[in-house]
Amino acid sequence: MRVARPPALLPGCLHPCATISLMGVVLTLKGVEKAYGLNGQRVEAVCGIDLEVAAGEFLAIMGPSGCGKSTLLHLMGGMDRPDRGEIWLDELPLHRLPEEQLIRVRRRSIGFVFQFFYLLPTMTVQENVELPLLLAGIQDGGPRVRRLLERVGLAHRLDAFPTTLSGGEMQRAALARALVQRPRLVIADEPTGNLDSENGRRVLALLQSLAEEHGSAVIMATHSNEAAVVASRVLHMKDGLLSP
Amino acid sequence: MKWILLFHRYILRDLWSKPVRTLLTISGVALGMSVVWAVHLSNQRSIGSFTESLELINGQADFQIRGNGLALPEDLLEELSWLWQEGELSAVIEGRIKLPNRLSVPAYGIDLLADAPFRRYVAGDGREILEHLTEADFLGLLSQPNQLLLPEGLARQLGVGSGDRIEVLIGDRQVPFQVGAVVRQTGAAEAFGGNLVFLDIASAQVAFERLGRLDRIDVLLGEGANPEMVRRRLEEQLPETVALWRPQDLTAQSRRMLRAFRFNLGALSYLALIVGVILVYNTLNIAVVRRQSEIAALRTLGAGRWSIAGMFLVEAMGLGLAGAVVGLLLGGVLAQGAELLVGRTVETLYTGIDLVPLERPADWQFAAFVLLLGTVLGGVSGSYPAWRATARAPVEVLREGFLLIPRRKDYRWQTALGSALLPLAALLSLASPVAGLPLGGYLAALLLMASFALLAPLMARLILSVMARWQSRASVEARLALQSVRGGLSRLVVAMVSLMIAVAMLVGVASMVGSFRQTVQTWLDQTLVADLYARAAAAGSNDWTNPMSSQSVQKLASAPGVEAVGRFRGRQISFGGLPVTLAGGEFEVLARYGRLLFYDGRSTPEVAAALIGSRKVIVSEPLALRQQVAAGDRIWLPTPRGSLDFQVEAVYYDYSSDRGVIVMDYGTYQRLFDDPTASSLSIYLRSGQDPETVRQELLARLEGAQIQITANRQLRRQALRIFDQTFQVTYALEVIAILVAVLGITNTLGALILERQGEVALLRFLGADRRQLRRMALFESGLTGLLGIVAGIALGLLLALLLIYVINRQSFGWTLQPELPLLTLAGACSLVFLSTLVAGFYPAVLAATTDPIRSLRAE
Amino acid sequence: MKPLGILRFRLLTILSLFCLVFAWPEYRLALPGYQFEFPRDHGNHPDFKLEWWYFTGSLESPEGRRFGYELTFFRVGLEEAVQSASRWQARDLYPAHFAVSDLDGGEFHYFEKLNRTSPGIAGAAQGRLAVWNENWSARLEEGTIRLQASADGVAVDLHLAPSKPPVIHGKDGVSQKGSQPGRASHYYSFTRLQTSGSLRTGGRQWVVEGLSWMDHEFATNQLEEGQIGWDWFSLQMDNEEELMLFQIRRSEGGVDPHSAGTAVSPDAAGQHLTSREFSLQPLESWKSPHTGAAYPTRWRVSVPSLEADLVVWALLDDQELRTKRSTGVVYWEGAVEVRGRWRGRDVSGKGYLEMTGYAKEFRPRI
Repeated sequence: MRVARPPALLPGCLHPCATISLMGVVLTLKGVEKAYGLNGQRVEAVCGIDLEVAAGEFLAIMGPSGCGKSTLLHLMGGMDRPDRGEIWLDELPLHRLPEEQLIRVRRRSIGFVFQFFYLLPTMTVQENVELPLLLAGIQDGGPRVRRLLERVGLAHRLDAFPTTLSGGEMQRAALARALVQRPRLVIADEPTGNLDSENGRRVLALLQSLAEEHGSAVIMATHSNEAAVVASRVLHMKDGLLSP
Repeated sequence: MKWILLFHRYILRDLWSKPVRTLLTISGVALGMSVVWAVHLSNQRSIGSFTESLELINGQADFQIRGNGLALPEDLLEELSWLWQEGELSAVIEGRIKLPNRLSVPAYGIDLLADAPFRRYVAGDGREILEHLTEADFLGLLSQPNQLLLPEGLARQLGVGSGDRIEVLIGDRQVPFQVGAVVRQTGAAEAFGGNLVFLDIASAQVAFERLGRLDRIDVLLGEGANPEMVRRRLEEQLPETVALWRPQDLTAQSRRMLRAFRFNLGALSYLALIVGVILVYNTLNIAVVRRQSEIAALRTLGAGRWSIAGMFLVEAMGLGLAGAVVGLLLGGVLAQGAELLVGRTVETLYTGIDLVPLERPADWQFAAFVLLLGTVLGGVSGSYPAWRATARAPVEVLREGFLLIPRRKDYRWQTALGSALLPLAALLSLASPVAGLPLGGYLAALLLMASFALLAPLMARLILSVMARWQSRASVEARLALQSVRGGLSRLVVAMVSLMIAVAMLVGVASMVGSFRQTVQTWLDQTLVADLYARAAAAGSNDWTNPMSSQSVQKLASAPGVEAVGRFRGRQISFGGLPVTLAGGEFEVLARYGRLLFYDGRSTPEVAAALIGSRKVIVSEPLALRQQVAAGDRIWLPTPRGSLDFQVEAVYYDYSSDRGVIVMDYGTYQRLFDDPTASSLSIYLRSGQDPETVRQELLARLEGAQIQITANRQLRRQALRIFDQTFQVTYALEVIAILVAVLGITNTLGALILERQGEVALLRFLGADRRQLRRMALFESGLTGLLGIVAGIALGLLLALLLIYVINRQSFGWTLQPELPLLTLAGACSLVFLSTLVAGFYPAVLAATTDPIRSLRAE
Repeated sequence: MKPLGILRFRLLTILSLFCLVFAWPEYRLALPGYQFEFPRDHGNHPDFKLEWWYFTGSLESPEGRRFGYELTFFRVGLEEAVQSASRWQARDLYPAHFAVSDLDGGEFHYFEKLNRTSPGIAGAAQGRLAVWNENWSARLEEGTIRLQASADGVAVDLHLAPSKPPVIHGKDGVSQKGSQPGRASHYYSFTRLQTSGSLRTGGRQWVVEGLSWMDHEFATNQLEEGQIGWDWFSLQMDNEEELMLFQIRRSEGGVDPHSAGTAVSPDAAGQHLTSREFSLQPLESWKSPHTGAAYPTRWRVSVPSLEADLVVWALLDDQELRTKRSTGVVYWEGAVEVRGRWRGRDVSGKGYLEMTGYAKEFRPRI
């Protein structure tokens, strides 16, 4: 299953800048800060992060819960806006795009994978995967969806409803949903957090290989070292700051 | 296209997957809508049939010349000969007869020859009656006495055909008639559902003892005529007691007469909708809360905020629409019953004519309105949940994961608004009626309900904290339920509010009706003091056209055992644009034997002394209140001597009808009207006489005069029976409102259990058995029910005050003594409580059958 | 005489059977020996079943516009009179016809009414000439008859002053119409009424003058089986003579021997003419586009005993009345002009012609 990675992308082998110049930058963060109020207290979740993520890169962000990982991911996924700083997805300034365009960007260029899968219970597996296409107004995505589901090993559960799936199956379906649009960027928030290690490994492998096939950059938040192994770059997050 | 697909997959499937709740929601709306539709239909068919009947009877006439409560002298036609120049005239005699089947129907004496341009009479074969009949038959109809023209339905009902004889009652006489012809139920014969008869004007003059007099002259202007000129000339020529009535004046007057009744019925029907609206709100609210994470996920996939809100809004509108559609179907069925009730009420209270609901094509316009109303109300009630669906940033939702911590809601602004509405409601209740309708009162009621709804969480919290004190003594299940209710208050509040409003309506209306009934009973006890009451057998309700002859009155008055008789003669006049009863009453007798209750507290003899031999009158309370007439005022009344002014001596309580009554002394009446007949008699017996024995003796004495003599006790019973009858519609509306509220409870509690399946599963893991879960669920519904009922009673009592002191008084003009029908209320509330328990049974079963493993996994 | 026919057909379905077959015990028959007395006999005769007051006239405006008019009041008694205290008791029916011929305008308007005896609506006074039907009326007051009628923008308001006293037709007070006793009527006429007043038609009011003729006839059952129609003339000559002639046509063809007439001399003396004393010969006819009936509109009239040889022609072809609402009869009644020789002198005059029984009967509304 595992596809050999080009050595150039091995962590530490090359300066990140070289990679960027080589592959083209998908996501750029410049001095991003974000704070939010919680029970009347101001919590600095992200305090001045600079980051560039290249196409095809698999970036793992590690850190204990509450370190601001999720906030960072949401910022990168265009779900939230930074208080300060810039976020660029290719040529698009996510930090100041109007909501309308952000929605379009989310539809077209970003795929999300969550710890709790968030498959819609009223839709079949196939319909769940088809959903981003539907939202983007693509009508004839059927074959693509089926191919993808075949690829994640759910060809036999096309018409099953999520509640009848196992956790691993659900996450694989969610994976397919995140990738069906061939997004530039896949954001995975603890994708294995709710899975046993066997299923976790399988999901990670799939995520990696699919991202590669689609040329998507993957940013994964995790606190599991096992998960981080598959990443091409690992950053640690603590107190709103990233460090290698 | 994509939104349809999405709507189908996301919204419809969800509704489909919870069929019971969806059904409950839709039926809640449907019940409310069905009431609105049924009340509209019955209003339209029963009340509409009355006004429409007036139009049908009026026919093509441009206007009617009518005396105000007085017949016109037939010589007037000679003075009006110039009118022939302007168009056609047709003289009409109006009466009421009682048919062998006890049906009291209007009878119109017409001149068939002159009537042709005004009204059509069609024979069974579809030809005009004049063409259909052989000349001999036609001439017979024209020239033979006592020939009736019967609509075919009535003829069938009576089992008679052309040429058959029937005996009818007119006044206190039995008069033989012959069926001259049977006509189709179209045109004028369609009026009153075909429950009417026509006869030749000459026969009518003789039969109704109106020789030399006419009740009205219909005028149909020719093409070249100038209506204004004609009107002016007529108004100059005619005495002031004679009026010109255009068809629209006639229907306008009856509409005015029925407006308050119609308005109140309509308002009550719309109240049933409030609960339905809350239901939709509740369903949506629950769905939105339950699906928060799904919504967030959808948004990460690129669904816009407003698209999602839109879907929920469409869902709400769809639920409203579906409810309206079902409501239309259901309402059509309900209307069958409702129109009978409404018709009967209108008959007893106002028209006195048995109203046969009109068969008419469905009112598509109003049906469309109901559909629109359902959709809009659905949308309105769904707008807040829909907005809420997307109010929270998906990030926030996602961050919290599946641990949907019900955040403690802040009710501060709600409480503030709720408290602010209370004085506003109080202020509105002081407003005077708008066009005779208690708009301020209803607005105040609405505000009161809104205020209570807003204050509901606060009240619930107060009640619960009181209950929490006894918590230690309660069972485990009860304690768990109490905790769960306290914790999930924000969601339970909706169930509580819907129940509260339903209970409040029940309490309010029941208290009003109870007070009313008690007031009437007291009033009857105090004023209905004669031993026997007599009136002509032919007289229907609200019928002044069938008096007793003076001979009959004489016979009764002079009978042994009779101490005194008090005569009363009423006639309908138009006063202040409304039909009222102008009457002569024998105050000498009343002063000695009888009693009336006066506003100013004066005794009957005192007022009577002022009235006898003077041009003074007393007026009934409804007239005083609705037309702003007070003691000391001068009012102008039509008499055969022209319009005369009378001084109002006093205002008296009268609960017999909301039509006003103006009474002068019988002596004054006799002098002015030269009319020795009596509409009714109060008969006072010598002491020691047995009423029933005397009644039999009196009946024997009458020798064939058809007079109905009723004993005091019977009449009292009758009065209360009629009273109850007229409130049947109201009761029916209440039952439906409660039904909707119970649906609401089931719905809310069911949803709550579903929502907390995880929690329930956890409890099972922790060792709760099915029985305990069931009991817990029952406790919970019981507790919610209790909260709703307690708050509902409080709100209901306030509503009752509004109904008694503002709405009822302004609409109908009655002062009611407030009276809490404790027994009824206690019974009704326990019934409601029981039904909430029953309603809680479904969620309870659901709770008990929750598969713990499945539920936890699904989360 | 003419109304007889009208009545016959108008009442065809209502009354004809009764008229012909039953005797009317409660009604008086017109029998010889009747003594006319005026003004009593101008009034109503409720003891006879049928009665009518018939006004026709030829009028002219100062501008020379010529008009004709007809205003007729009928009374038909109904079966046995029911005793009733109500004045609305339908004892009699009152049909009425009103027509105006605008001879130069070529227009003919006619109207009808049907009412019962009822206060202020229709009736006739007893003992004097006063008959009314809604807003149509004829009243004799202070020697002048006032005629008033209006309908749909057509109206007359005329004063009729008799220049001759009434002339009684027939013999011995009866105008015999059949062979049996009682098949007759009491019949008199004002044959020369100087007329002035106003007439309204076509949206214009005209001042008019001219001559009118009044018939008043009452009977109970005058017609016999086999009589299908008649032609009736009233001619007012410029030599102060008047001529009334009627011929009853029989179903088998030919003229009933009871046809008759009256010639009125300038001194108002009436001369009874029997059917053998005059002849009426149709010359031309006009076919009604409404009913298809062919009416002779040009006649040769000769009365040898008067040395009168006259030609009478209609001044307007279409003066046909189709009275659906009141009597159900179709008849032609219109203004005519007359010219010829009379005792060796050229004469001319005006008059009215009535022709019945030419159209197929149609079912009356009443």
